[in-house]
Amino acid sequence: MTYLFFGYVVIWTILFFYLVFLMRSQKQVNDKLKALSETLDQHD
Amino acid sequence: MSFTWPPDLYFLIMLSPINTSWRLARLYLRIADWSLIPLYFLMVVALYGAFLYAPTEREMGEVQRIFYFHVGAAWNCFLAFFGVFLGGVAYLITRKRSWDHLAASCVEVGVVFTTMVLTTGPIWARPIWNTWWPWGDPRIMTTMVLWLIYVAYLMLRSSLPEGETKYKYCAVFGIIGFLDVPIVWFSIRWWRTIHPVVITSSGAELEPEMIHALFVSVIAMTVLCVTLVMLRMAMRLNSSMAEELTHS
Amino acid sequence: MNPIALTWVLVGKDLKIEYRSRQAYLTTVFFALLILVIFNFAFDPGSPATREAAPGILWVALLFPGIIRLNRSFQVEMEEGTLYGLILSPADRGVLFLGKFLANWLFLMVVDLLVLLAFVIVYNFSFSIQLLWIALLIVLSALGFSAVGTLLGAMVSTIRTREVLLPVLLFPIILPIILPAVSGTQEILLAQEIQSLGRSVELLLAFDVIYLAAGFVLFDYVVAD
Repeated sequence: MTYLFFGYVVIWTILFFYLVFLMRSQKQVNDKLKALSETLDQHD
Repeated sequence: MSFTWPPDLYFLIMLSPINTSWRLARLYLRIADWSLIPLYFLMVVALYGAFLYAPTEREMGEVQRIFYFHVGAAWNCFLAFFGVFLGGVAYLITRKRSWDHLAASCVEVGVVFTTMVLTTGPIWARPIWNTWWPWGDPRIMTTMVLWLIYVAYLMLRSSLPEGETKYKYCAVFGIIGFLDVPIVWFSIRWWRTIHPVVITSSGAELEPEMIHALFVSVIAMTVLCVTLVMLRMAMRLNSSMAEELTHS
Repeated sequence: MNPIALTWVLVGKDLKIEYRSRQAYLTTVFFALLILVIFNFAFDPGSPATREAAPGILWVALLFPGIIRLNRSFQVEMEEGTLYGLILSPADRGVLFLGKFLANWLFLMVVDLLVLLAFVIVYNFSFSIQLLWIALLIVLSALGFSAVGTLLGAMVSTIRTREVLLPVLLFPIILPIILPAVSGTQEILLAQEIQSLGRSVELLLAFDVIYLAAGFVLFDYVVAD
């Protein structure tokens, strides 16, 4: 069963890094939205 | 953006009348972010538990190891669909968009977990019960109907134009779908009793190591489920906020 | 006007439209007949296997044409914009639901009983007192079918792909009605002695009550404010 274990760990790691990537990009989008809404608030 | 632990009481935003805000999205991202590292190790431990720590089942053999993930996914699809129900009811009462975000994200994650249940099931059933799809087992058929109902929900969601009507309709359908599950279960169980039962589930006793492995795997899957829902909610909030900003 | 009289006004209005246009019930009955005939050809016509499958075929022929009716129920209102008239009328939402539901139910009952008649002839079953039991199953399942169908039909009435979407939404939900109806029919037509028919009827009744209550409560949220 060792090979299955390592196989799944590899698959999970790839999936995990995809999750990390998604999280990063959403954080960047969120930061931009924050900055944008703050500038809009100042203009009002 | 740096994160602090514990996350401060941004939870209160959920109760406030603000519908879309970068703050709420940031809260969700924070929760997801903090659960990521524990999630990684939990899942590795769960894999270790399922493949190496737990002993091989005497009668079923190695294929029984799929059971740990099957059960974890099954529990989480009910958790996620309960989230759909909760989000639907709360949306109809409060009419706040964030509840619709919760329902929509829970459906997506729930359908993924249900698909997992429906794929791991036949892989296990083929060598043990000698059939891919034992019609007549109420659990299998109920899960299948559950999957059909929530895939239909996603179709309804994608064909309605953006707006309050859409959230209302989806909430209504999510509520009906969830209430329907026990009725489906009951009717299939009754139906099965008048049809020949091909398969009886053998009451296998679990070794303590198996219970440990199952426990860890269920926890890991639950954390994965919550993380995915949080991530999807943050994405939805971000995109709806971006839309609002472009239109304002 | 009291709610009961209002409901009957709504039912009468819907049935009058159907009676005058003649288009809907003719299409529905014809579609059902077509299903009966095509299934007969898909299996070996007149063979024992076809006879075994007959109860299932009957229910396919009852359920699929039912979708046409449900789609039409709100489409007629959407075409002329009369739904807003109904919403603005003094009738409250519950009455609106009951009116639509009753009209659908009555319509489906009439069509379904005609289909049953055709089914008995096409599939060579004999006319006996037992057919009344099937008629009862049909009446009860049409009730649950139109209760959920009225609610979902109102929801999809504005969507372009409603003809496809309605069965996709409806059939998984009403599966608990289909199961006892089909197995009850099987028992009446094929079994030597009748054992669990009473139970089928009880189950259908119980599910009907649940679906009707759910439709009545949730319809409030479905029609536009």
